[in-house]
Parts: sequence; C-alpha cells; structure tokens
Amino acid sequence: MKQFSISIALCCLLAVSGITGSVANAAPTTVQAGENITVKGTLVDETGEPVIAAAVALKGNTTIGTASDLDGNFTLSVPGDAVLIIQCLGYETKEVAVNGKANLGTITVNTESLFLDQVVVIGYGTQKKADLTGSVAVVEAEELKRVSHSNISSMLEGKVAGVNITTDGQPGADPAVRIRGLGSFGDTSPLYVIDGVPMGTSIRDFSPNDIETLQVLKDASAAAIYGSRAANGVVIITTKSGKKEQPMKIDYSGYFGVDRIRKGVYKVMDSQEYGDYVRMAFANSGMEAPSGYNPASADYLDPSKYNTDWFDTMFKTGIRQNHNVNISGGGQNNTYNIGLDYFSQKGTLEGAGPDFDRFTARVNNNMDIRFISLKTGIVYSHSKQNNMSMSNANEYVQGLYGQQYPVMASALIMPPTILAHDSRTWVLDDVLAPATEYHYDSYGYGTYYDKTHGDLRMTNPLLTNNLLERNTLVDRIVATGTAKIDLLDMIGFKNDNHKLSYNLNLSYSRTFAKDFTFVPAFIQSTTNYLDKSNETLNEGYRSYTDALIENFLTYEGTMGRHHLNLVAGQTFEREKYHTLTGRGNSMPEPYYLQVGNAATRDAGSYESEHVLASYLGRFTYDYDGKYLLQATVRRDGSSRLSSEDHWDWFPSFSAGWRIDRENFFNVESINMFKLRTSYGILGNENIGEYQYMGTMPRGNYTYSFGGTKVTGSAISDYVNTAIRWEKKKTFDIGLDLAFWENKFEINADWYHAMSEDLLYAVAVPAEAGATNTTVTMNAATMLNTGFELAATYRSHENELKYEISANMTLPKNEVKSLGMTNEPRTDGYSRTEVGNEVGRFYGYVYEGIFQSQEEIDNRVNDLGKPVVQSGAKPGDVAYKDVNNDGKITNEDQDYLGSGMAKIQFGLNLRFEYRNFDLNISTYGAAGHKVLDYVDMVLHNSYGITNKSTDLLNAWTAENHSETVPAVSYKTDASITNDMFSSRFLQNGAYWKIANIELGYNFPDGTFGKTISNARAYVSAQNLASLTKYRGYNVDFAGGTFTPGFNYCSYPTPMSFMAGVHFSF
Amino acid sequence: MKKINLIIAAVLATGMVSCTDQLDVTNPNNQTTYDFGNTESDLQEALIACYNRIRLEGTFARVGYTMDAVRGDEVWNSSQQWYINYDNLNSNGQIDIGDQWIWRDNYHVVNRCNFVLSKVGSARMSDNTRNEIKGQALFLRALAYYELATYYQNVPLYTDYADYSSLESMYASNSSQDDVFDQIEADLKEAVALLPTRDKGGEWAKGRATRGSAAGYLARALMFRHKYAEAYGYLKDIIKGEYGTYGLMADYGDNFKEGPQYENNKESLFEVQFMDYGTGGTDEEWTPVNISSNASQGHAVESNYGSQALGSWGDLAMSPWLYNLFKAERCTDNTLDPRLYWTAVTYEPEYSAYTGAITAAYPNGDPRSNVVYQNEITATPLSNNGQGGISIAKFTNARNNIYSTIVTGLHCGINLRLMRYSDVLLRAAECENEINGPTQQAIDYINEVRRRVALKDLKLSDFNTKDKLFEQIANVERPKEFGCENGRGIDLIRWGFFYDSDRLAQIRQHSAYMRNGTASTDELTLETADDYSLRYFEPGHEYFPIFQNTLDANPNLTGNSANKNIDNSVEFLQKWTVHPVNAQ
Repeated sequence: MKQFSISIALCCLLAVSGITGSVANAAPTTVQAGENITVKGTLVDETGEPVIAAAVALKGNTTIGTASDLDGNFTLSVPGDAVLIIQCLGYETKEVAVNGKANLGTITVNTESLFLDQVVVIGYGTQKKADLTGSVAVVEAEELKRVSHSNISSMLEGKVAGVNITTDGQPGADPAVRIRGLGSFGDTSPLYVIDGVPMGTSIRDFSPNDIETLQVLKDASAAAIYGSRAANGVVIITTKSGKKEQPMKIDYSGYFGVDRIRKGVYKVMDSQEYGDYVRMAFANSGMEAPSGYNPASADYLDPSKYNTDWFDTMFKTGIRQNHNVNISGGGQNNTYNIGLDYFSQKGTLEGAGPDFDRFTARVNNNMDIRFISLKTGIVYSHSKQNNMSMSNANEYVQGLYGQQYPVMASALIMPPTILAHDSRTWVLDDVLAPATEYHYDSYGYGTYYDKTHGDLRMTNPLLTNNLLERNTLVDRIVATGTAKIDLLDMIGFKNDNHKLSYNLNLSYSRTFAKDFTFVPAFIQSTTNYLDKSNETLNEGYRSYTDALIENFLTYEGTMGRHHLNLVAGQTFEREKYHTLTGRGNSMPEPYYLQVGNAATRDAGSYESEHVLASYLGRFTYDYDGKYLLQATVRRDGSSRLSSEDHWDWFPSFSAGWRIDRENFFNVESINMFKLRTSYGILGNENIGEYQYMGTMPRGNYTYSFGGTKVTGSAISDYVNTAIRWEKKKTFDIGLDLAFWENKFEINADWYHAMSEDLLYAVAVPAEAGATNTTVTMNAATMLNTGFELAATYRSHENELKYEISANMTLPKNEVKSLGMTNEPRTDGYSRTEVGNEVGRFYGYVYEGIFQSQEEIDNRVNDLGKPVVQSGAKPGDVAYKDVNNDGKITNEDQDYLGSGMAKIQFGLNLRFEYRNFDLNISTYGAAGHKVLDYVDMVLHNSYGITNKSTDLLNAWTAENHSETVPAVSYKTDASITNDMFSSRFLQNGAYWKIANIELGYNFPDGTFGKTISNARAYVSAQNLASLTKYRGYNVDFAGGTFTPGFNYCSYPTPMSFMAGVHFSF
Repeated sequence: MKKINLIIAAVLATGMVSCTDQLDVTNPNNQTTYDFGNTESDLQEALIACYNRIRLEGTFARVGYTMDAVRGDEVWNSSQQWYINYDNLNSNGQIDIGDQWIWRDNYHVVNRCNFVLSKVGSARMSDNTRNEIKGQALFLRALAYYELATYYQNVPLYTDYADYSSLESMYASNSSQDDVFDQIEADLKEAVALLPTRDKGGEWAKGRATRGSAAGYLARALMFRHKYAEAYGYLKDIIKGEYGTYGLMADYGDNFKEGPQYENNKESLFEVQFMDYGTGGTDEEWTPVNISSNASQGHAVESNYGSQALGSWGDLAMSPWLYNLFKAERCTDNTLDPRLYWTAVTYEPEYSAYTGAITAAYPNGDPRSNVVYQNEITATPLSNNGQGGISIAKFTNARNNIYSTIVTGLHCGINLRLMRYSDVLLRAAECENEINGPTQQAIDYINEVRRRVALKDLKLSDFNTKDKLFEQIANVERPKEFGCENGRGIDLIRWGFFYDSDRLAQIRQHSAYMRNGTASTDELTLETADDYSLRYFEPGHEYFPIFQNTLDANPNLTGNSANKNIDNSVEFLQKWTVHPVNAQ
C-alpha cells in the first residue's frame, strides 16, 4: 500500500512538474502589504504518508503558488483570508481556508477515488474495488450524467455489460430494466438503494444530478446482502455530500434542448396515392370505391384540398430543460450539500401530453461528534406527468369505443383525406342521427362519414389527444438519518487495527400521488363515439409510506496480514398503501370538473400493508490482499407470504485470488490479475400483496333442509396459500485484469443463473375441485447464462487525453419448466416453450407470392404432396405446409425467429484536448428479429387505413410483384395475406449513437474571480442508428413473453441540447 | 456518556425483538379466504357448501344421478342422443357429460369437505358440534368417492386440503379402487361414530347426514367388495334401530312425492334436498362455477325421465323387461303391483277402477288413477320420446299432479331419496343369503318389503339354493323396488354381471327396446327388439372413461379400464364368483 502511494506520488511529481515548476519559479511577487501572512502546512494522504510535489496555489490567482517537498511540507505567503487550492494527480483537489492561521498543520489529501483504490459501496458497508469478489459494475457518475434524461436508470443504457434498458420515449416514463436477462415472468426491475435506503423498484422521483456514485450489483455474492429483493440485481446510488473544510461553493448546471421525432421512418401515402390505393383495393374486391374517391362524385375528396400530413399534424417540437443549483461546503466537523433541481420535458405530441415536469430538493448533512458520525438527508420531489390519451400499452380507456390505436399509431395510419380540423364538425346533427343528443359533436376536428370515406372506424387522434385529459401529480418526501458510533473509541480503546462500530439507519418516505382522468362525450361517427353516460371523470389519491429501521454492527480488523470485516444486523421495513378514488359519469356542460357535479357517482378505497423483517450477516476476509473470501447470509421474513412461509434464507459465498500479488507472478505490465467466483441464492419478493389469500365471498352457496333454504360459504377459487419467493441461484466466475498502472482494464464474467420457483399461472386440474382454471404457483424455471466483457483504456499522458470503454454481453435464456405439464403458451405473435428461450415469434412461414393460378394448383409440400391453400388467388401470399398435411391451417404455424438479442454491446469514447472534450456514447444489439406493429399495420393487405407507399407496388395482373402481395378492400379467405408470418419480421440488429457531446472548459479567471469551473457544451442525443429496422425505438426490447414485439412504443426523439456549468 | 449507552442499549433491544408477529398482516379490504374457516359459524357455512355441491348436475341434480340408471338394464336412452354412449357403454373418453361432469362435480364435493376437515380440528367449538361437522363432512366426502369409484374405478384420492398446495399433490395420480374404498369405509366408520341419529330431530330429520345415513352407505361400500358379514352387522343394527328409527312407509309412493309429509320420511336414510324452481331462487346452477346466492334448488331428473309430449327432454325410458316384470306378479287381491304405478307412466285401464277403492295395497283407498300431469289418459299414448319408450314416473310430478306440464331445467323439487329402508332390508336379505343362505331370515327381510305392496310372501321352500334366492333378489325384488333409481349399475358391477358371459347376455336381454315411436310394453327378445343397451359394450366400459382432456392436463393421471379397454373380469373372478344365471 505504502509503496503504491509513493509510486503514485512520484508519478504525480513527474506529471505535474511542469506546472509546479512554473509555480515555484514564479515566487512571491505582488502581494498587498500588511495583509499577507506566510502559512505553512504538511500534506499527507489517508495513510499518513506525505504527499509530494502537490501544487499549492492561491484560489483565484494560481500564479501564486508552490509545491510540497519530499516530506509533504509547503510554505506560501498569501493574504490572511485566502483559500488555498491543493492539487496533485491521483488525489482529489482540496480547498483550505487560511482564516488568518499561520500554521495549517497536517492537511489530509484524499486519494482520488479512481481506478483500483476506488471505494465501492456494497450495501451495509464499503469495499475497495480491488478487493471485490462479486460482480459489481461501477459507473462513472459524471459519465452517466452526460446523457440527458429524467430517469436515472435510462441513463445506464449501454454503459454496463449485462444491463439492458428498454426506454419508451414518453417523458416521465419508467424504463424497463433487466440485469442479466429475464429472471422472472413478473417484475424484473432491480432494487434501487439510495444512500443505504432501499427505495423500491422505481427512481423516477429523484434527480440524476444528485448522484455522486452509482454501482450495479449483478451477481449473488454482491447482492445477497439484500436477500429476497435482490434477484433482479441491485443499483446502489450515493448522493452528493459536501467536503470538510471547504467554504461554501455554489454550482450551477443546466441545459436547454429541443426534441424532434424523426420523420419518414415509415413512408405513408399522401392523398393522391391513397386515392389510387383505395380505388385499386375496392376494384380488387369487385366493389365500387366510396364516393369520396370517385372523381366523378360530388363528394370527391380532391387531393389538392384534402391532404393532411398526419405526421406534421400530430408531432411537434418538444422542449426539455434542466436547471440544477448545488450548494455545498463544510467545516471541521460537518459538511452540507443542497441540491435544487428542475427538469421539464414538453413532449413531442400535439394535445394533452405526454409531458413531464419535476422539481426536487435534496439536503444532505454530515456531522462528526467525537466518536459519532451522523448523516441526515431530506429529499422533496414534486412532479407532474401528463399522459397522452392512449399510450404504447394496449390499454383500455373507459368508455372509448371503436377500434382505437395508440395515438402514435393513429398518427401514422390515419388516411390523409381526413382533415385535421374542420369547423363543420362542431354540430353533426344533420349527418349523424345520434349526434342530436350531444352538445358538441366532434369539437371541430375532422371526421368522416361512411358514404364518402368508407367504413373506417377510426377516431381523429387529434381529437382524442386534445379531449382526453390524464395526468398524475406526485409529491414525495424521503427523510433519512444515519448514526455511526465507533464503539471502541467510545469506551476509550481507539485502535487503528480494530474498529467496531454500531450503525443505525432510519428512513421514512411518503409519496402522495393525485390522479386525474377526464374523457368527455363526443361523436365522430356511428361507430366512434363516447356516450354521455360513459363520459367519465376519475379523480383519486394514492398514498405510499415506507418506514425503515436498520441496526447493524461492523467490525474491521487487521491482524498482521489478515484483514477481517464483519457485519451483523437486523432490518425492519413497513410499507403502507392507501388509495381513495371518486368516479363520476355524465357531466353537465359547461364542464366544471368535480366529481360532485356528475349525474352518477361512485367511490372506492383500498389499502394494503407490506412488512419485511430481516437479519443479515457478512464475513469478509483477506490475507494480504491476495486471498479474498466473502460469505453473506440474509434471513428474510415477508408479510407477502403466509405465516407458514414467512421466512427464508439467502446465502452466498465468493472468493477471489490476486495472482498479481503472488511472488511467482512478475509480469511488470500487469498490475492486477484477479480471479473471482461466487455462488448464491437470491429471492424475488415482488409478488404483490395478499397473493396467498383471495377475497372471500359469503353466503352464495345454498341448500335446503326440509324445504327451508340455508346459505353457506366456501373457498371456490382455489388460492395457493403456499406461494413462496421466486429464487435465483447464481454462479459467477470472473476475471479482472489491469495493465500499465491501470491504463487498461478488463473485466470478464461468465454467469449461470437458474431462476426457480417462478410464479406462473398453473392450470388447476378438474380433480382439484376448484372453480378457477388457473392458480398462481411457484411452478416455472428459467435459466439465464451469459458472458460479459468490459474493457477500458485510458491515456492521460499526452495533451490529447482519451478514454475508450467498451462492453459486451452474450446473454442466453432458456425456459426449463412451465407449470406442471410444460404446455407451451402463446402470447400474441410469440410462443414460449420449454427447452428454448421465452417468446420466440410464432406464425406462418412466408413462401413468397403466388404469381399464377397454375402455381397455386401445382404447389407441393416437402413430401411432394399437393398443398391446398383455401381461398388463395394469384397475388396472394403462399404459406408453407409446415405439418405436411396437404392443407394450410393454423396447424402450420412455426417458430419464425428470436426476439432476444444474442449480443448486446456498448462503446463509449471520451477525448480531451486542451480545454475541449468530446464524448461519444453508442450501444447496440444484434442477432434477433423484431416485429413492429405500426409497420405491420401499414403493410396489411386489406382495409382502408393508410398504408405504406410500398403497397402502391402491390401485385396486380399487370404488375407481378415478388415482394408486395395483392391488396383488396376485404377478403373472404380464412387464410389471408395478413396472417402473422415471417414477411412482417425485420432484422433487429442496430448500433445506435446515443449521445455526442462537445464541451469547452473555460480556464479559471475567464469570468473574473467569482466564477470558476465554467463549462459549456452542446450535445445531440439519439442522433442516428445504424440499422435496417423500420420503426421507432430500435432498442425496444418488448414485453416479458413477447420479446422483440414493438407495440407502438412512443418514439424516443432526437434531442439537440446546449448546456453550461459553472461554480461560484 | 451513560445516557448514550442507555440509548444504544435500548435501540439494540428494540431491534432484536422478534418481528414475526408483525409479518402477519391482514387484508383490510375484504374478508379473505385466508381468514375463513377458523370459527364454528364459518365451518357451519362451509359445511352447507359441501351439501350444495351434491346438488350439482354432475353429482345428483341430473347426470350424476341418472347415468348409473342408464348404465344398467332398467333404463334405456329413448332420445338416442346425449346418453347414448352411456347406454351403449362405449364412450371414447371425449364426451364431457359422462366422462367429465360427474368427475368434476364430485371432486368439488371432495374439495369442500377436505376444507372443512382440515379446519374442524382447530376451530373453537364444543366437542359435540365438532363431531357433528366432522361427521357430515366425512359422510359427504365418502358419498362423493363412492360415486367416483363406482363411475370411474381408480380415481385420485385427495384427503388433505394441503394436497392442493403443491404441484406434486395437486396433480394427483390414480389410487386403486381398493384404496378408495378403504378410505370410504374408514370415513364412514368414523362418521357412524360421530354423527347423531335422525331421532335427534330438527334438521337431523330433514336432510342432514346422520348416523343412519353413514351406516347405510357403509353397508353399501362393504358389499361392493363382498364384505357381507361386516355389512350385515351394520344392516342388522340399522334394522334394530341402533342408528335411528327407520321403517317402511305404508305407501310405497310416498318415497317419490314432494311435501313435508313425504320427504325425509322414516324410510329415508339419506336424500338430496330439492325445492321447486323459484322457491329458493331462480339462477340455475348448471355448472359448478355459476355459484349464486339466488340459485334455484331444483333437479333436472324429471326433465330426463318425463315424457317429451309433456315438455320434458324425454331422454330416458324404462325398459320393457322391467314393465313386464311388474306385470308378472300381482298383489294378493290380483291388483297390479303399486310399484309399477309409481315407477312408470303407463295407461292401465285397471287404474281407473282402483281410484278411491279399497285394495290390498291401499286399505284406506287407492290413489292410483290414469291422470298424469293433471290430464286423463285413455291409452298408452305417452311415448317418452319421438323414438318411443315408457316414461319413468319416479322423482317426477307425473303422479304428484302438482303441475300440468314439465318445464325443463333445474326445476323439480322432489327430494332424491338416495337410500331407503327397503334397501337395508333387501341388502340384509342378500347378506344373510350370501353368508348362510338360503334361510328363512333372508326370506323374512324380503317379505317385509313385499308385504308393503301386498305381494304374497315368498316361501323358503321355493328357494332351495343360495343362487336361486340371489336370482330372486337381484333380478326380481331389487328391480321392482328400486326400478330406474340410481344404483342398478353399481349392483351389476358388484355382482359381476359384466364379467360372466351368461350374465352379460341376460342383462342385454333385459335392456332390449323398440324404437317405434310408441311406449311399447311388449316383451322383447334380442331378435324381436330393434336394439338393446350394451350392444357395443367392450370389456372395461362398465366404468366410464376418464375425460381425455382431464388426462392430458394431468401427467400423473392414467386412464381406467374404459380408457384402456382392460377386461376387469380377470381380477374380479380371482377374488369373487358370479352367481350362475340358471340356478336350480
């Protein structure tokens, strides 16, 4: 250790000799007479070793300065109220106020928490990165924050091997986070721990700007201390605190940016093209086109007058901005940090939403009183999220009839012949008979009537997104307090080799959310309307509280070359939830939106409670930093399980071997060569409240005795009272390598994670005598294996400094069992079967287009037997006779490809040249197929929603297209061109440039004395992707059972931003 | 310093307090299944639910009752659909009504009883109440298993509610028929010990399972496995009145009528309680999932037995053999056996003459007439169905004359008497004959049943062999006393009639019918008949196959002899013998 710090210091001497030299040579020159004093001090590191050749300079005028000598001493003449800046490579920059003192005594300079000596927070303690035996990814917080996003987890995308993020472009939306694959059929979100307090599975309420450090615990040994909540991984975040002996410092950082949705991803028809298409489709069906498309008709929709560009109509330029003020400082025994943050994102869609605003304030205080350290933290967060009327999820909006697509899809498949706005539609009484019952009919938004446009059954998305109002306000306060008592110090036996401390953590979180939804009555056509009686106003409050108490003892001891660290403790957490909702139907007009005004009203409430009690222990041992051992055990008790199953154990073991520290190992260039391995069992407690019990109906079983009716009750639906934790058994083997004094680092891991006892809807056999057909049981098994590789190369010696980091994951998933019978399950276009990964695409096999009747008549299957595809005509899609039975039926569906990427990677580059820096972050995936719903709808062969311009080249008797099947208005065939088949699947491979940032760091003094550390930057986010994929959100991973299926995920915009940072 | 130490000590102490109690959170939103069943009143309700399940369509409200009759030789499927594969005994395992419904609904009974039995030991109540609840649940579970084992042979045995909690035990495998009967016997023996007799009165005399019910079914279960001596002991005790006061009703017809003076009468050991449509509710509970507090309380046996001409489905008709059996022996005053009147709807000119007269069977005035559903009939016009067949009167309103037509559905309120005292007597006769026979004691039991309907006494001298007396019991006395009721199929199985070629020929002969659109009463032979039940009988199909979907859904379950076409005669004949047909 000692050797190491000296070598760092020597390196420091060489590296900064230029600067210090010039400083030293500058010598005291102009100082104001009478005010200057000569101060002296000694610089040491945490171990007490002198810090050599550090630059000590006057803040605000760095021409006044000196360098520390071989013993760490320095002398400098400065004004009595001066602040000194102490800088040395490998150490953190430190500011010391002189305060008129001539002798500053011993000043401790902290080793820069970079590289191997970096201290990693591992839950209930810290550990040096070099001593880790588990798989922990440490993410550079500053690096992370270069990407603008409201949500911390979204920023992790592409940064960590094995961490996969699926972000939807909706402002304020929580991303889906998967660490090391799909470990459960339920919630796969990791546990977030902020400043030692478990915060649950979402961190949308917190500002990324408050992060000081972030690490991801990926394997069982790292995460086992969180036991039953750690199966999906743990993300540990530490927020900023002030530094001791530092005068108040104010930092401002902020940016302003614009968001644009990329146009032309899908090529949709304009009015002229659409008219041609409609005429072709109707003609192919042997029908006359609707009058609007008949140029001879009085109703003709002239493309020169009726030509709405729905993309331009629906999408607008979004605006995002973030302002953060951070105030920090500290005295001898205390530090403080206050962060004030405002984030606002005005969405890219016309109408009610989506957009998101959030204000957060965080105050952290640390105090040391003799042997006690106290930490307090308070965060307040307020946010408002406006949702669009129908988002990406296939959600049901109460009372909205007709075929409704999410707004984003509607914007692309709405025919261009429908006007966005049409002043004639306020009153439709003469056009639609039922319209007489409405006050306003279509509110001046364009609509259609069957005889001119045909039977379309679509609602103008501009209308729905403007009329429907759905928003959520969230207020949250989290208060935490931590006390750490050095017990040996307390009883007067302070000993540097033995440290025993007692820790107490207290935390209370209260979240208050207000939900508001209003869907007013309207009528667009006889099929698309919202009846007055179904007009719905929903208002509700949700309250969440979470109280946590943790007690634990830690012992840290050094006995010669033996190092020991023990943790033993107990935690108790209680969460409560309550909701109160009011619903009103049929509101009088003009609208005053209070439930009390509604004609019919309804109210509801619900509450639940969750208690988690745990005991934990960890044993960490190393011999000379060479042989590393760790054992962790947690015993968890959960109220989510029945009293017979409350408790369970979650153990883990890990070991590491620093081969580079062995005497026989003398490869100079390798300064770290560590092998590590771990095994452990983690749990997933995210199974919802009261799962082991069902609602008990009373008095619904009747019988009679002697002609008198009697009533009884029974548990009709079988409820599995023995529901248990999902368990994940993880084995990990890893290798950490570092070369040339950590300039080049490699981390490699291979993992084998068996998720057992997964909750799964199991069929209830008839002989069980229950009324339900399925019951949730711990009845599925899934295996995730993978190889992860991360490498970083840093070059800081030359004027052009650069850092390249890359990561790669090769994940594999296999379902090992599903319920009792392993019956495959089908979800949409995907099917899950034991022995293979979750949710492979399942449908018909596309075999091209029938070019002639002869081809239809003479087609044979693999056995050479004739194949009958009933209803097929020339121009129709030919499907493969998969089961070789001579006819095309739904038995001819087969697996068409995987929606799970076989490789995921990230590549991040950073360059610094003089005062400029450039950061580029990219990531990608390959080896999978995707199905884009909008693309599929645009390529459907029937109906009259708008289509891709590809369909203008559809097969006709004259145009024998090999790629686009014949189109028609409708078909009577049971096997149609639109059966889900391989023709709709796309190659999912992509490489996305997620962020490019170019910054300039102004030298101190540029803006005078008051402003320092000034920086300005411009950045572009989501700029481009290298892909063949046609659709938004190339990185959208799909649902649990439907990987690769993108159902109208809201487009992530391209963002262009400019930002500044400076300190006072 | 001291203060801090104290605080720390206090905090540590609080931290170490056991948190287990805190983990037992309750759901404040609704009563939950987890909280149910821990009190006496909960368990009384849960017990009602057990009774409720025995009046499902697959238990006794329709197919669960009638399938056993149609399986035998007394009833044929006059509509030639719906029941046809259970008349012919050739279901392929894909027909839900017989292969699934009876299975499914009886397992509902098992589930509800298992729940009660799992909780009854720990809930607070008097020992008396505990015994009563437990005894009833044991009886009802045994009743369900008796049905399951006699319809489906080797069925899975669930005896613990916890069995449903793990995949391995929820997806149970088959138990042997012997294991199931062992369980039935054990449960019924315990129920006999726990339950009060009907003499306790109240609901104990109005439909609850009593000691007598349990003892009667125990005798049935024992006799299924030819344990005659043990069964006889119970039967004699019932006759002695040790399990409650029982006796024959003076009027045989009282056993098939509705009304407080007829239902739950002294002859009844156990009956399923029904009420007319609308009196208990109007929601018809056709499948076990549409549970309703407003459920109708009727059964649909009438809809199967009654004539289509009167609004019924007319599915099931009495075999001409049974009709002619009734005709073969007249009462002491040369009138017709009154049991014909109560079993079948036929026009008999004599009935009009009997009305109100003093007859041997009815010394206080004969109720018989040719009025059916309030209509006077003058010939035998009542073909059960377009195909023909003699309508069955039992458990219908044909003889009650409460209604003028049948409304199909779960409408009929006549309690189904599952076991009557006459069964105790005839079974006692059978046991006595098997053990000691032929004896006067056996003849005396039979004569008690015969005297009620004014038939002349049998004489021991006419029955010189055990076989001969058995023949009289099996093919004369029992068919006439219990004709068209549930139980004949089980009798044929336990006597081995499916396992002996002569016996099989005999019951085929009995089951011959005409499909000529009339209620033909002509005596038939296989040659003169249009057809006969059991024509397509394959060995093993005396049991119904387990539904194929049920087998597919549970990998631990295998098919029974009907699924696998296994001839059960080999095993049967290893253990027991079949009485020969032409006994001398």
